[in-house]
Amino acid sequence: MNDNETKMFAGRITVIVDSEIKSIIPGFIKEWKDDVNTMRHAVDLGDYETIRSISHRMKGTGATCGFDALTDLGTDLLACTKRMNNHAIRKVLDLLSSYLEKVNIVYQ
Amino acid sequence: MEKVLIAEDDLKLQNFLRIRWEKFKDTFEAIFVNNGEEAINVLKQKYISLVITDIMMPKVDGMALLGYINNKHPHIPCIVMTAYPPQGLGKKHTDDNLFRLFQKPFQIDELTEAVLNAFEQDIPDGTLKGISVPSFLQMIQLEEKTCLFEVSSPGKEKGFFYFKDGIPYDAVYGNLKGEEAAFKIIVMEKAEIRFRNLPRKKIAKRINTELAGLIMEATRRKDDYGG
Repeated sequence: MNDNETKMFAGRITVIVDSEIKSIIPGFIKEWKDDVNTMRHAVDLGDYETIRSISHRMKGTGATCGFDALTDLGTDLLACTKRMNNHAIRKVLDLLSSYLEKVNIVYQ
Repeated sequence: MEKVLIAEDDLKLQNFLRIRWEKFKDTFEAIFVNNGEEAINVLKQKYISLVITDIMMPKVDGMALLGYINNKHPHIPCIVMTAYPPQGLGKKHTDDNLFRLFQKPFQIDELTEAVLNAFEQDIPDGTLKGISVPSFLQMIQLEEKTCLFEVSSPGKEKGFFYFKDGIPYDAVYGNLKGEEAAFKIIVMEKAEIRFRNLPRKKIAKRINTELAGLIMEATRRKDDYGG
């Protein structure tokens, strides 16, 4: 995630999602927030396998459901986890938290 | 009614597919399981028209599930969802008529189209080959797996391929070792596939060519000399 992308999360982000899946999206957002908390705990414990497993799923599911940034951040997390770079992992987790707090979903 | 078995440990993706495929409920039934072990249990009990599987799953992973399907149900088409971009070796090198790699994230409309096309696929009698050895090797590389991969084929020696973090490391086929063994294993047809426990002893790296190069050379030799 470069500086421009980091700044992107300073404002509100609008994501357009198919109204067909409206009923499951609020639950997804909550679960992704829970996943971020789980990964924060895991990085404190040095449990890279948990971070790798969650970020792998996030990478695969995010853009499929319309949340492209989750796929990008999941990809970044996987790379940081491979390097066991705790500082970089925490930085991406901060971006993820910020994104999930600020994302504005429009159904159409 | 067609039955599609989906092995995927991500419950979000399961829910997403369940909702998006609701409108196709008159065309196919989607059966969701969380891992390869559950998928194998379903395959033992029901007729399944198509399997869609993730690779990384707990208990029995997608690779072992595909090995089981290849050995026991080679007529079932398979769609594999991988997080990594498939490296297009092309039909000449993979020779699969019932197998397709799909990169995650994917467009739901594209996956749906692949599902519907699979029901209409007309495979001529006698051309069913299950999943080819090059396709398995490609998946091992994509998923960066460390594994011992056993290949057996009627009337032939057993072949063993060792991968470390997705890199071909060594192969053994009868008296042959390293790349010469790899060339023989790659072109084995109607092969049974098994994933074996990793040996405890340290394995020497006798393969120094990348997988794509090995597959292309094996195919060339087969074309030139008939294997």
